Parts: sequence; structure tokens; C-alpha cells
Amino acid sequence: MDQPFELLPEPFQINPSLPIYEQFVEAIQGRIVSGQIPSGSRLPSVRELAAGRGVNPTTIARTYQELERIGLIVTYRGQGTFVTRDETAIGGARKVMMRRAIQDFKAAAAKLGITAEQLLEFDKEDSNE
Amino acid sequence: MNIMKTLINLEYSRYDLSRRGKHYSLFAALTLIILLFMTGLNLKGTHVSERVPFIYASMLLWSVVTILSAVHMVTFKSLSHRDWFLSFPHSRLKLLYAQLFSLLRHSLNLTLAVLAAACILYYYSVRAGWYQPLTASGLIYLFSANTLFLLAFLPLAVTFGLGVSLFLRSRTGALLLFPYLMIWMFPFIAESALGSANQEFYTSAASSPGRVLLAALVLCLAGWPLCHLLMKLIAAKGMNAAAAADRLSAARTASLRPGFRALRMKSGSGSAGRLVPYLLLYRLHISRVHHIEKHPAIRILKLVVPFLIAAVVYLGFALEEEVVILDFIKPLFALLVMLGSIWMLMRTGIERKQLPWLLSFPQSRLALLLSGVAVVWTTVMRALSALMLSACAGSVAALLAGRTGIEEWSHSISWVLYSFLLSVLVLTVILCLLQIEYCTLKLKVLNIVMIPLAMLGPLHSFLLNRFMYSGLHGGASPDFRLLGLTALIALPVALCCIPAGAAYYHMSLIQPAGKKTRSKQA
Amino acid sequence: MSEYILDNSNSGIGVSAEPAAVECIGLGLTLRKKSILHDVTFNIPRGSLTGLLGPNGAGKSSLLRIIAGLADPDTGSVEIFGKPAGAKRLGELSLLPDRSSLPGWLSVREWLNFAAGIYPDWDPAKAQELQAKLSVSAEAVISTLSRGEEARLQLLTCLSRKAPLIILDEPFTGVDLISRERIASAVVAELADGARTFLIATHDIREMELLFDRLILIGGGTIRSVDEVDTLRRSGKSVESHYREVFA
Repeated sequence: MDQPFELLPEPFQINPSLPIYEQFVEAIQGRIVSGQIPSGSRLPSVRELAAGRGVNPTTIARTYQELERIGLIVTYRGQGTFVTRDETAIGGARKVMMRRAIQDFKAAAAKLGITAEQLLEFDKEDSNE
Repeated sequence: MNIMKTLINLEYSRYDLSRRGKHYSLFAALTLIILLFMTGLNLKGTHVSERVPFIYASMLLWSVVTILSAVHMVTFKSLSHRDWFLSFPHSRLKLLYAQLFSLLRHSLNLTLAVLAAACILYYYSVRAGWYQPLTASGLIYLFSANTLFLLAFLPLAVTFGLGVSLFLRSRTGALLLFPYLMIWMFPFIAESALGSANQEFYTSAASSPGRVLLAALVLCLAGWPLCHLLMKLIAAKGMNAAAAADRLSAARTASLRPGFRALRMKSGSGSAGRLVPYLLLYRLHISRVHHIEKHPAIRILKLVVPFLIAAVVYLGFALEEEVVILDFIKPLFALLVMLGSIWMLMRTGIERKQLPWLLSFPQSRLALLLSGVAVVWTTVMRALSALMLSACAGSVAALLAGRTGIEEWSHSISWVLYSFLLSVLVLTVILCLLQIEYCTLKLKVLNIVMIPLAMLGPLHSFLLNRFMYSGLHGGASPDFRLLGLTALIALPVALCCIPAGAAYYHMSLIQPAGKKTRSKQA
Repeated sequence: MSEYILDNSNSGIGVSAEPAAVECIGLGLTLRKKSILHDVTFNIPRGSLTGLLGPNGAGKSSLLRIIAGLADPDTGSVEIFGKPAGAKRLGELSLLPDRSSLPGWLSVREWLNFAAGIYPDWDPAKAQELQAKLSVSAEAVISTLSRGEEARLQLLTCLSRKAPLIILDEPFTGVDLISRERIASAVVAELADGARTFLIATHDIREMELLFDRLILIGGGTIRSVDEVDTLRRSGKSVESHYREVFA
């Protein structure tokens, strides 16, 4: 079946030392939230995705379970799995990811010994030059 | 039953000649029939009675079928698809029966050829006027009685051959190997005793078609159930080759490794003299033979057989049956030569795994081939010499014990010596000629020559009987001049084959596996 | 396509009423005074893909042969789907033997015809499908196949049956990259369809790392560890690093 989008970024490096389904959830979540995967689009079946990526189908099943728990995808019996059309769910997930990004940003700033605001200031000055 | 048929077809397809080419099997069959016919012409009993060709047919089939089945069983362990075969979801007994039936099918093909040759021999004899032709009904009676007899004993022959696996398992099994071989030799001994010594046997009532039919019935009723029991035993004990085989083959390669290492080291350091590489290669090959000889069964054989030979010879002298001694010794020599030729034929298959290594050694291919031939030659020579020496020992014992006079003793001994030398000559010639096998890789047409060569091993004794042993029963001395002349002609021709084969030795690397010349099954 | 139902027995927490696919208790095997296996105990839940890893000579092949019923252990017991293992159970499992070839004189097509007759649970439709997927040419003679092609053919033979337990002994030895990927994705497809349990002994950790549900490490004839791969990953260890930890 022809997909006009990529479910996962093509050179997707899987880290074998961390839970794989978490890495998949992270990646797919990002792409749904950013719109790279349009809402309402059909996701590949567990079998296809597992065979395509060379991972255990249990991992994919868990990925889809987790995504469904977050509310980003829905499964219709007999029809397949689809990205939700519910904008609030996607918005909610976006907010979660934004919060996490901000956390990471704050942590990166702390590593350099400055606050997040100082880092943003620097960026403004830097881009003006 | 469908499963059984599939399994049988699978096993059968392995040596099915018709896979090689549409006309191959027909050609092989015709060659076989012609060769058998010609051998039959030269057999000593042929002129006597119409039953003789069939008796010889039975003996030939008995020996060939049992040996082929035994070889099949012994090589089963080293088959590349053994593990897959054993993992089929069927009982061992079923798998074994599939092997039995496929061997039986091959044997039936062989039987057809042999019977055809026997019939042609009969017609030829009648035309040549050697004996009176039978009536049509008499002929049919003779023919059907013998065919039924053959059909009755073929399953026994195959089972008997497969049973060799029982004796290779353990030490107690090895002890029983000797009675096993005695039972195998029984038909030959019986024929010698009844037939050659006493030509009336062939025309008497004892060998009439009626008796043959009776024998066939007995074999059927008593022999076939015995076969089934034996098969069950073999399936239970003999086929457990799997686990033991891996460890055994690991040990075997371990025994070869020191040889390999020594070879590499020595060859790198600039050999002193041209003989050294040959010797090293020879030592490499012979280490494998030594490993096989360590097997308890072989050890016991080596111990017991010389004593038995000596005992038989002694008895022969004591009972004033010196001629019988030679009738006993000759087939033994012939058997050894035949086994040597079979071994040579099988070496390509045996060596297949080591071939890339061997050919990559910095020794000439001639050295490689020569060392291979030398290994077979020396091993068979050792066996032949052991036989001859034990025969001599027995005869000297008889002489010392006063059971025989100097004249008879020297007469018999000279025949034994003659037989020995003749066997050595035949062995050398056959082994050398078999190297043409490698030339067939380049010149496909030479394949035609391979079939008669392959059959030379088992059938040579009949040719020898005709040409070289003609004076034996008449009490004459052996003709050493004839021997010398034959050697003078045959040896150079044979020795030329080795360089010829060595030139194409490397081509066996690129040939696909399955280049079998054991085309005895037509 | 079919829905994949998460099998609770995989996570190790759920107690399934059905017996495990393979249950080994206290297995021991001695050959010529050398102990090949000693006190081997583990179980393999249904529907999982278990990897059996260990250095050469650790006893993997002997263990797999005992499970398949081709050899008998000296001590201990093996149960397959709740019933004792043995040569009679060969019809319920599919074994790919180590370092063995299929009958070399046959062509692929001839072999598959024979296989259809020999294996009572042969699935011809599946065989066709796998032949296309693994791109095995029908007319080639088996002895002329390259290592990769023969490995694909052997896997095809194993998977074209309906047996619920599939044991692969070193399916990747000497096989080229593309063939390995094809073999791995064929295995995955089987796993996704639900009903099969896989037990794979391999040295090819990288290829199979992402596929294992459960990991059994065996060395010197004894079981060194049995882990759920998920648990390993949650504590930040990959299969490879765990292997190094145990054996280095």
C-alpha cells in the first residue's frame, strides 16, 4: 500500500540498550504532533511494520498500545489503525512534548551554568549579528 | 503409504542413473550385460549345465548387493544431509525401510541386467552346443524358479548388508563381526565345495529348478520375518549414529590436524630431496587410515583372520585337499583387490571436503594423486601380504607336522605365490587405471571407459580364472613367464594413467558434487 | 491484516493456563566422560522468540537436539507443549539442523515436491509465498546453490509447515547480508501471525537483537542466565552488552 508519509524517519537508528517501544513511541509521537503524519492517516499493521523494521511484533504492538493510551491513534476492529482526527488529543500530546523540550532546554542551560532565559538572550543577540 | 513412497523415491533418486541423462542408464545397462556375458563365457562351469549361469548370477548378486548395502550404511554417518534426513517426522524404522526399499529397487535393476546376461549366455551355450537345449516349458521353469529365488533372497541380502552397522557400534559388536563375515562368505564356500570340486553337482537333482523353488519358498517364509526383526534391531541400535558421529568426526579431523600442520611447516622450509613432499602427503593420508584401523572391530579382525587362514591351510594339507586351499585363497585375494578398487572409486567422495585444502598445498598435483594411490595400494598390500604369510605359516606348520611331503608343499606354495603376485599386479593396474576418472572431467567421452573400469574390480577374478589359472586343476605348475609378460605390458600402460589423471585433478574442485562412478546399478 | 493480540505470557507476569512451549528440567548429557550439558533448566513460553546464545562448544546443538527428540538426555526431562519430548514429537516441531545440507542432487522444485510428501503438515500455499519472498529459484540444483540461497531454502522448508514450534540451529552461518535480512523478516512475519514459537541458536547477535523476546545464555554446558530482553533494556543493557558481561 502506498504511503504518502514516512511513519518513522528513514535512517532510524534503534538503540539496542534502551526499551525499543519507547524509542518508537517517541519518534512516531513527534511526527504526528508536528504534522508530518497527517491526522486520519492509516498506519501500517503490526506485522508490516515489524517485518519492515526487523523488530519483534510484540514491540510494535506495545508501541501502538502506548500511542493508543496517549490518545494519538485509534484502532477500528476490522479496519486497522489510524491517527486520531481528534485535535485536542494531538494538542495535548504536543503540549506534553513541548514541556519535555523545555525541560531539556533548561537542563542544557544548567549544564552550561546559566539559566534558560540567559540562553535565549544569547540566541537573540547571536542571530542579530 | 504416500509418505513411504515419497521417502523411497527420495532415497532412490540419489543414485538414479536416469537423472544423469536420458540414455545414460540404458547405455550403462547394455555395457553391464555385455561385460557379464563375456565374463560368463569364461567361467569354468559354463560349459557344463544350463543352471550354472543362474548360480553364478545368484552369487554375484549376493556379493554385490550386500556390499553395496553395507557401504551405504557405513557412509550414512558422513552424508551431508544426514541430519535433515534424521529430522524427518517419521520413525527410524520407517526411514530405514525406505532405505531398504530403495536399495531393493536398485538391486532389481541390477538383477534384470544379470538375468538378461544369463539368458543370453544360455542361448549362446546352446548354439555353441555345450549342452542340450531345454524344452520351452523347461526353460520357463528354470528361469522362473531362479528369478523367484533371486527375488526371495534380495531383501535378505540388503538387510544383511544394512546389518553391518550393528557390528561397528561397540566392542562386543566387533567380536560378532567375524561370524557375520563368515555368514557372508557361506555361499561362496558352498559353491566351491559343491560345484567346482564336483562338476556333477550342476546336473544332479540337488540343483534342479524344483529344489531352487523350494529354497525360494523357505527363504520367503523363514527369511523375510527374520529380516523384519533384524530391521527393527538395526533401527533401534544401528541408526543412532547422529550424536556419536559428530564427536567421532571431530576426533578424526583432530587426528588429521597434526598432519596438516607438519606438512605446512616442512614444505615451507625448502625440501631436501624430491621424495620428501610425497612422503609427507602420504603420511597425511595414511593417518586417516590408521585412525580407522584403531576401531575395535578392525583390530579384532586383524588378530583373528591370520589364525583362521593358517588353520584352514593346515587342514587343507592334512586332509590332502591342496587344490581346495587355493580355491579358498584365491577368492580372498580377489575380495581384497575388489575392496581396494571400491575404496579408490569412493575416494573422490570421501576427500571432497579436504580437496580445496589439499589442492592448495604447494606440492604438485602429481604428488597429491600419487600419495592418494599409494595409500590405498600400501593398505591393500599389507592385507594381501598378511594373508599370504599366514597361508605360508599354515603350510609350513603342516610340513613340519609331517602331514605333507616337500613336493606337494612346494607345488601349493608356488601357486599361492603366483596368486599373490598376480593379485598385486591386478591391484596396481586397476588402481592406476582408475585415475582416468579425473581425465573424464575434461573429456566427457571417457565416461564410457569408466563403467567397465568400475566393474573390473568385482569381475576381474573371473577373467583371471580363465586366462591365468588355466593349469590349476590339472596339476601343472604356475606359469611365471605368463605373469611376467603380462606385467611387462600392463604396468607401463597403467602407470601412464597417473600423470594423466594428475593433469586434471584440480578440475574436481569445480565439478558439482555427485560425480559418482559407482555405476554398478544399471 | 490480522490484529496482533499481545500475549501476556510474554511479559512474564501473566500466568497462562496453557503449558509452556518447551520446558526443560535438570537436563544432563555426558558423552565419553565429558559433560556436555549439566543441570539445564529453563522454559520457553508460547508465541515467543527465544534466543539461545553462547560460545562455540557450549552445548547449544546438543541441547536443541534433545529438545527436538533426536537425542536422549542422561538425566532430566523435556516437555513440549506439556507432553514429553521424543522422536515421536518430530511432527509437531520444525528443526533446522546446524551445518547440514539438503539432498544436494535434487533441484529445488524436486525437493519441495518430496517435502510435500514427507512432512504431513506441509503447507503448499505458504511454500509458494515464501519462495517468492525469499527469492529461491525453482530449477537450481541444490548442490550448486550459494550458501545464502541454501540457507533461505532451508528456512523455507522449515517455515512451510504448520508446526507450532520452530527450532533454528545457526540459520545465519556464512550467509550474506541480504539473505540474512530476508530470513529475519520471514521469521518476523511468522511471529506476527501469532501461533508459532521460535527457538533460535545463533552467533548473529546484531541481526537478531531486536527480535528476541527472551534470552538464554549457555556456556560450558550450563545455563548462565535466562532473561526477558525487555527487562534488560529497561536497565539500560543491550543483548550484546549483556552477552559480553556474562562471557567476557
